[in-house]
Amino acid sequence: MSTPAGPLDYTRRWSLRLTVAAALLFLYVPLLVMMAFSFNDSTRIIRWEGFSTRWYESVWQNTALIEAFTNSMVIAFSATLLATAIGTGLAICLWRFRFPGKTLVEAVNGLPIVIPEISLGVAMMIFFKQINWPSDLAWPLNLLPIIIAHVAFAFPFVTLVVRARLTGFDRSLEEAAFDLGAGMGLFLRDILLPYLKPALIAGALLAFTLSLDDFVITYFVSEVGSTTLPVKIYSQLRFKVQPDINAAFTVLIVLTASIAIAAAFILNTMQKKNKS
Amino acid sequence: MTEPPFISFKNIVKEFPNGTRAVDNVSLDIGNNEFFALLGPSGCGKTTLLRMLSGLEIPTSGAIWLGGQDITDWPAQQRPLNMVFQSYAVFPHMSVGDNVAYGLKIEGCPQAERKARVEQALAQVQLADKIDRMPHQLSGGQRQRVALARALILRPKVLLLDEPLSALDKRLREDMQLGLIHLRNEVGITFIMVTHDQEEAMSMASRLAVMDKGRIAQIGTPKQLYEYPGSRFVADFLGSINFFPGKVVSTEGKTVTVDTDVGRFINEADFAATAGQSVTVGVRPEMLDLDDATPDVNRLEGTAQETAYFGDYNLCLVRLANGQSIKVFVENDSEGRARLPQIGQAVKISWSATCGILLPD
Repeated sequence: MSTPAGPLDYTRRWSLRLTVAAALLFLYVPLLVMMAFSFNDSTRIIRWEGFSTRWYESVWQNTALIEAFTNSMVIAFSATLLATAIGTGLAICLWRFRFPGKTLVEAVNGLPIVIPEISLGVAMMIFFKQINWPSDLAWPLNLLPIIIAHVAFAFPFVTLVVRARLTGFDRSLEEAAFDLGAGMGLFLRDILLPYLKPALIAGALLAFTLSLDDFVITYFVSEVGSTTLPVKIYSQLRFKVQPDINAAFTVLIVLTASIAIAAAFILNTMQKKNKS
Repeated sequence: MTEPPFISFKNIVKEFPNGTRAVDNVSLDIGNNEFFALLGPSGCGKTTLLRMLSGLEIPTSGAIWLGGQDITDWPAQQRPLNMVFQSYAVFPHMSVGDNVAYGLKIEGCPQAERKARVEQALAQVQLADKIDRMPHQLSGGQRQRVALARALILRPKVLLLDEPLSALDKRLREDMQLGLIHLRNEVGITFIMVTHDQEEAMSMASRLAVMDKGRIAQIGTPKQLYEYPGSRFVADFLGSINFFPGKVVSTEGKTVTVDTDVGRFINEADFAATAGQSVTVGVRPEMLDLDDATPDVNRLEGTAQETAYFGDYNLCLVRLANGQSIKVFVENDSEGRARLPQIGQAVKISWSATCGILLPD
């Protein structure tokens, strides 16, 4: 027999195991049901009539959906890149330098996190109208307003994550780099960015998922030809609930989950390499 | 005139933006190949002075000269001196070898030469077998030696050490004290160390400056400062001491007679004392004898109040008639054991005229 559970062996208590199981069920059962029904050989969305991959074929042939998916990907990647760069730069500036109005910048930086998305969406829409942003640009330039909007609401999250990591940075590492002959540029490249790597990856992942599944803000900024996947699916659902939506979402979930797992895997091996 | 000093601080003042004056008009010369220590309580300005030499702080006014050049405005990157930081500041994401090679890499030293010099530098600090380790796999003492190798590999003219031993445990600290003295003799450059630990400063440095509130209280060899302190602050900061304030009664050559609350004492003075002058007689606890046999000068009587056992010696706290408690060290040899009083026992204390320290107030 195993040894009796110690006072801190929480994982061996039934009450706790049940809580964890219930939490996981609430989270994942709806997703699993949707994934299962994406293989349903029926035009009705709720009755099981046998296994089929026909909805995947139908998604594949749904050019509007594929187009929206491509838009989403282009927007998510560009917005992630820009938001990570801007967010990290701002975090470093706020941490490293004293300048007039710093407190104000710090306070304002947090605003997009707490402002209701709908206000940000309306504001963005009015802004692009006011400056007469050309609405007839060719793809992918027509995605720029959405990318700009996504960068605007995603980079404060990156700043937040990077700043949290920076507070633990030993300033004497910076002084040691200068003492050994490094300038600001070499210090950033050789010492600070490697130190920030986990925060950069976490911030980028955050920005990516925020951009990929944003609906509210995108809805106000997107135009014909620049719709993203969430907006497209919403507009399709308004007319008819089709089972190919199940398939589309299953693909999306598998995709984002793969990216997250891959990132976790890369981080993990990096840490192991550092330790061995 | 002889040639100018190797390192020279000239009227250095450092004021921080919040108005505190960390260094207050310090002038200090340090010679080539010295092992110099800046000693003082925390906040006395010793670290700020070191950081100004390294280029990490800029003096508010004054000048710093090194090897005949004014380096006051030189950035830290260009100064031919390197620093070992209190936290060691070993780059956590780089291997030991990469840490040590970093400065050479920036200099643009070719790879083959770099490799050879890294191996040589690591061998110098007995870490040759750790070249591929990551810093978190090393002990505190090993990390410090990585920091030493990383600084010395650039062949600086001066090595700066900021509280080099404060983060090590006692045993390792003793090993490292000898290690650093040995290393300095081997590389033959100037070492400047900042420390708040007087034992550390005295055992390692060839010369030291005691600092207090941004100023230099006294400069000299450890022996000079310990045996001939110029002020109560220095006497008190270096080692233990008992003070008896009083007034000069008469002088006869160097021998001075002083009246204090607890009796009349005779001491040698290294300054010109005049009758009526306020002075303080200081006696270190190891100079006091618990014995009747010594000549009939400088005697005290009291009761043993407490004793503490330190292994190699005992500390005995003796309460005098006026209520003052004084410290007496009793060596733990066969004689000392026999002399060590019981608590509450009446004791007689004495010291000879050459063992006391006379300080002008």
